[in-house]
Amino acid sequence: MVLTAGVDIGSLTTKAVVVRDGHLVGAAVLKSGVDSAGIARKALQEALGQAGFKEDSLDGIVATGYGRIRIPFARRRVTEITCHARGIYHLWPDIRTVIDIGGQDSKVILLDDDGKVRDFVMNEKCAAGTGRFLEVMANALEVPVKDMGTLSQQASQGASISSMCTVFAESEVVSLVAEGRPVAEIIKGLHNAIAQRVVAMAQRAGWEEPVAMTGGVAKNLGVVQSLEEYLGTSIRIPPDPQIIGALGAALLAAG
Amino acid sequence: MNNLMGWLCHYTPVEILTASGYTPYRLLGRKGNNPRAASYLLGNLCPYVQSCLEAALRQELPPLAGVVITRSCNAMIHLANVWPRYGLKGTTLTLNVPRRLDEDAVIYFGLELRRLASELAGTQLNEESLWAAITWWEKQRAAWREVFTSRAAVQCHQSGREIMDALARWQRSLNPGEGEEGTVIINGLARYPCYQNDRRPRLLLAGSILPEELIAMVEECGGLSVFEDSCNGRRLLLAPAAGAEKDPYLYLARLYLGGPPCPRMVGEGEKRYRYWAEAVDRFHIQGVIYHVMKFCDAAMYDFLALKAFCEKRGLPLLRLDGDFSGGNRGQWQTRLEAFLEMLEVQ
Repeated sequence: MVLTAGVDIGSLTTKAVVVRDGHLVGAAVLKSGVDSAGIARKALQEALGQAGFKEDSLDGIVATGYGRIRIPFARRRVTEITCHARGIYHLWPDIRTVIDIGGQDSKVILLDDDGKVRDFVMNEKCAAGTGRFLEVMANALEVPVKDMGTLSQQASQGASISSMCTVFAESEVVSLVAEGRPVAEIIKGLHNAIAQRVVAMAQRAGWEEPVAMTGGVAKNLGVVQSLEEYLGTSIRIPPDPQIIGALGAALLAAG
Repeated sequence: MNNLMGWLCHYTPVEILTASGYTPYRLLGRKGNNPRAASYLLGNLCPYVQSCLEAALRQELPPLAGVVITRSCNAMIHLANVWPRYGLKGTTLTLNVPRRLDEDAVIYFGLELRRLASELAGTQLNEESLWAAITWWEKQRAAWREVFTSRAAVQCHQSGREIMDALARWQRSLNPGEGEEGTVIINGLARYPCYQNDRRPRLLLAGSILPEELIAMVEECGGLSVFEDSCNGRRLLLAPAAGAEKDPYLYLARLYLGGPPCPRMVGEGEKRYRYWAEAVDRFHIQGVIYHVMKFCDAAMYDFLALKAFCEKRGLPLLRLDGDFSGGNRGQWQTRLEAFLEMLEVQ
């Protein structure tokens, strides 16, 4: 038996996955905080508890995500790009493009036939097109971020959001609210704006079908639909898209 | 007399500064943001140019007798406009640099150099002393080229960080009359330990001016920089101009305009392509990293040309955006590590 774990420390959430002989046996998602190492340890313990194992029975731990360097108990550190690619390849070996929208980064990762990273493109140095962008807008609209996907379904058309700068877009959203535009239309407009940004990155990378999406934003049906519309193809979403990076890390820990 | 003469762009003929009795001192910018420079230069101008003005406004530069500013790109033209008023006390000399290499451009640039020399020296510069300075600089550059050539060998070389550190020191306070400091720096590199059986991916780093922290970070993350195509790297190492030119100014015009191609030059696409191809073949390059300086239009166009080159050659290419502030580490790290992981797998 080979038992390994992957811990993905993102800017908004920390994820841990335990894998036994290539099968997922435990997973946990916690909110990230200042004490990265403490939260990562807690997430790992939760995932291990689900799987029914103790930490000393692990054969390997790989840390990934932006906080990977701050995890002392990790035996190896691998970037989230490689981990998301590995995680998706495990689920669907035919996928050639992965779109990962996380808290502070969005990425388009191209895979070869063996699931190895062929190329990748990441967002530039700003929050546009990331989970953080959605959080700020949800705050401005006074709606929970988890409800944005469902709310956007109520709109037949999206409001036009011209600016992709988080700061400018927030004031644009406030103006639209003041004009009396329905919240659903504004949210749909925001989803379209994110999708356009990510599709531009995908085109720069030279995306290919089939496409999968990972990361927390993949849970937002509105963003997924907008992306499908602008890409002109369907996107596969894993059952729990948030843990794919940690899953890939756990699989890489097995060698 | 204070004899340090500042310069910025690599099209500045340091030979004329030396022959005029000055010690050339390259302004290499500073880390951090540039709030004082922002009072005089628009925010959407080259951050390197802004940081040079910021260093002057903060009085972080050594006492300079003056500065030579080339009108070689839009940001430099703006700097040339504001420096005399806000930069530093001392002379501000400007130099127009053609964007193409042909006989008209050489003649024009030769006249510009002659004007610069007379403004610097205050009188007609002695041609013999100019030829002596040309010879001295060529010896220095030849020694550097030898160092760079040794990096083509797979088994034995200095790291990119060591080379760039030494090059930065070499560009400051260099004068034949001051203890052959340049030669000491170059020879010092020979004492660095050789990296035997180095398995790190060999990389070409390119950009307008490469920040020191980028090269350091590339190597901390597990890569090896073996060729730096930038104006603080390989572009400094001009090879002697071909032909028997008797006029030292025309000789310098040919030398500088005909040097390793800079993205600002027009109509040199093919030359640049050959330059990259030779670097890739000779230095066994496995991947390319392009640093796009924020607001540098020339670098943006250059990146597209390099991208086309890399696609044709099947070379992995990573683009990193930077603002020369020293604050890009967090953003670069994941991209660099992922790129190196990708190269290792390949």
